[in-house]
Amino acid sequence: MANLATALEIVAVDKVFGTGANAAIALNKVSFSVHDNEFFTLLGPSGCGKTTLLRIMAGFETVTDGDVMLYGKRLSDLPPDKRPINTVFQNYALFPHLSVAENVSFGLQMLGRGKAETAKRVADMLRLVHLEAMADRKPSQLSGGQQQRVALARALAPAPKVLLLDEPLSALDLKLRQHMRIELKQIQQETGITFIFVTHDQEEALSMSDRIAVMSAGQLQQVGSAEEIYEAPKNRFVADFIGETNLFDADVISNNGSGLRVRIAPGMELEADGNRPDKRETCVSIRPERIVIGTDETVPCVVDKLVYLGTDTHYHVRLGCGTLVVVRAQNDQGTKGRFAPGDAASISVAPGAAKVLVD
Amino acid sequence: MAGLVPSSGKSAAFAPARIWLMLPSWASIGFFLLLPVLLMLVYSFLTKEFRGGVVWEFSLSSYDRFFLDRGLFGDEPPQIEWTYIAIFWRSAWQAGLATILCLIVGFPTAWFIATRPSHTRSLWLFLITIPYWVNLLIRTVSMKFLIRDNGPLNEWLMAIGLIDAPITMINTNFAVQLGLFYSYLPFMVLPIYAAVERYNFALNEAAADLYAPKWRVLWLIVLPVVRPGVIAGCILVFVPSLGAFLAPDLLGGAKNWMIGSLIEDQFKGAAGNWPFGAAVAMVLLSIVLVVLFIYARSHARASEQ
Ligand SMILES: Nc1ncnc2c1ncn2[C@@H]1O[C@H](COP(=O)(O)OP(=O)(O)OP(=O)(O)O)[C@@H](O)[C@H]1O
Ligand SMILES: [Mg+2]
Repeated sequence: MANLATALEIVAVDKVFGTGANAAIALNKVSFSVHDNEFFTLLGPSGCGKTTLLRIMAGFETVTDGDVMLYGKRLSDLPPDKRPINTVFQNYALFPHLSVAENVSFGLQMLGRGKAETAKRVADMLRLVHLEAMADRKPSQLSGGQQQRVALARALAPAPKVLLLDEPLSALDLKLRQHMRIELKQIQQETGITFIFVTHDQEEALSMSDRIAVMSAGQLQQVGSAEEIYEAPKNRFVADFIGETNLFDADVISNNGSGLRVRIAPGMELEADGNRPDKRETCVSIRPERIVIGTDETVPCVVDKLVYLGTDTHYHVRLGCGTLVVVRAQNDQGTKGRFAPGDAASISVAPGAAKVLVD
Repeated sequence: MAGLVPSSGKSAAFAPARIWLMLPSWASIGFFLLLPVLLMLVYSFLTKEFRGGVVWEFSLSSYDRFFLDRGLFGDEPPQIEWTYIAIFWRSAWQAGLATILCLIVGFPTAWFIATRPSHTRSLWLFLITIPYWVNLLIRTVSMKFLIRDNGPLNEWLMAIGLIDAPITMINTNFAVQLGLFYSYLPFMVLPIYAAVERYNFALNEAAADLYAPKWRVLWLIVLPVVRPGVIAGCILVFVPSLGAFLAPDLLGGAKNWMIGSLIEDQFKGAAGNWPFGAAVAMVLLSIVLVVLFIYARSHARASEQ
């Protein structure tokens, strides 16, 4: 697993495209560090600046302000071909006139490695991505998933210090994507190379990453492990973007130092983790699976509609004051089909499930 | 890959419809392409009529005249005739040079246009083609005017003090070269433009990412990928240059004949010799076909790999 030496450090990076009236801020004071041997993910909606940040790391874009450091060395002045960083491009960018093996050996040849060493390394890489049989094919003779593996093998072959991956799985179908997630993670652990992985798919991010950086509109929102990001989102954007959640504008009743007592709806008071000194109102997030639907009359509600999802069911219930709450109940024999739209029911919130958000 | 492509020409149900749909193109190829060539082929084996035209009598004398020298009165032992081979050689040499010059100028031009923002690209293409709306003859005559001894080019060179006396440019190989270059440059620019425009520039980043310096990116990635466009451009310049007659006639004068001038001369006026002109055209056609065939074979082999 990741040890805590810093591999790559992003220091207060600003990126502005264009000038004057056309200026567009793509990155705004972004700072974070990526640890050695870490599987680090940049997660955010389309257009939030993930690719721009990756291109700055690779050297295809310059920063407007700030710095990129690799093991304590400034990268900003190095051209892409001098950086010990390789990229798996979003559309793979395989060389169409070269065979699979020639694609994979390209970086090694540019580095002037010997024939025997190159051949052995190429064979190793093709074995790693299960493409030994395809060595002599052209990229156009491969499926999307196979091309993706060639792109990965090509970028891994020169054994970079850091590997950048820009949504490499987005062109694959669901089954293959799930399969490649496991393989990518395994390859990262086998090679011990630091991976910086870009995606807008939160499930992908949660299932693969040691740590995740959530971005929105050019700004860093939160950095943390999958659990931290999911269980303790810092703000409204992170809570809403990662998984599903219920967001409440709550009144603060009292403050006991480690948590707040809040009223999220008339007659519905609870303890929420987190602190917001000097605030009368705050935003509170409760995940749907941490709310239990039953008939014990704790907080009465009416079932509005239900969405059957196989492993579980989402109940959309309405409280007395009209607030809509989403509850997620696992489908086992006990609960299956227990409520229908229009039924009266009640909800209760699991202890520790409510989180106070900054904004 | 083969599975994705509909198996063309194999589905029996569509066969009759397909034949009817193909008919117009086969008819026009036959009428405008094969028929004239066949006619030329036949003419080249006929006997010449003295005031132009042909006598319908089989004869090998045109090919004999092209390849063999039997002395002034036709009664000496045959030797190889070098006159026409020399003209062919000069033509190939001129056309090859024109192709190289067009490539040197055309490639950067095509590259420049293809890398402009998409909304200005068509404007640049438009600008490139404007001179070619004027008839080739008129453009060649204008070129003659520009480069004659007391023409604007010489006057301008003297005005800026680069030369003291006019340089003779007209009726030289240089003039022919200039004419060919100017006539056929767009045929180089357009196919290369099409190839560069399709080029995926992410490949350059991928190569740089894999430690390739700029010149190696150009040499190992860009050029091989756009090569089909470059080769198409070279063929489109070389082949018509080889048979060109306006530029050698008007700019080169009698000393600098090319194949085209030779053929043209045989069909012009009463002094002409139609069967001989047809025979020269057939020799030219054979050479072009051999060149194209070799190219097609090597190309097919390269893309099979
Ligand atoms: N070359 C450029 N010129 C001007 N604006 C740009 C340029 N490249 C990116 N941008 C802008 O910067 C912002 C961030 O773009 P970026 O490509 O980094 O987004 P992203 O997070 O990778 O999105 P996606 O998930 O869709 O790939 C966008 O608003 C985009 O329009
Ligand atoms: Mg992107």
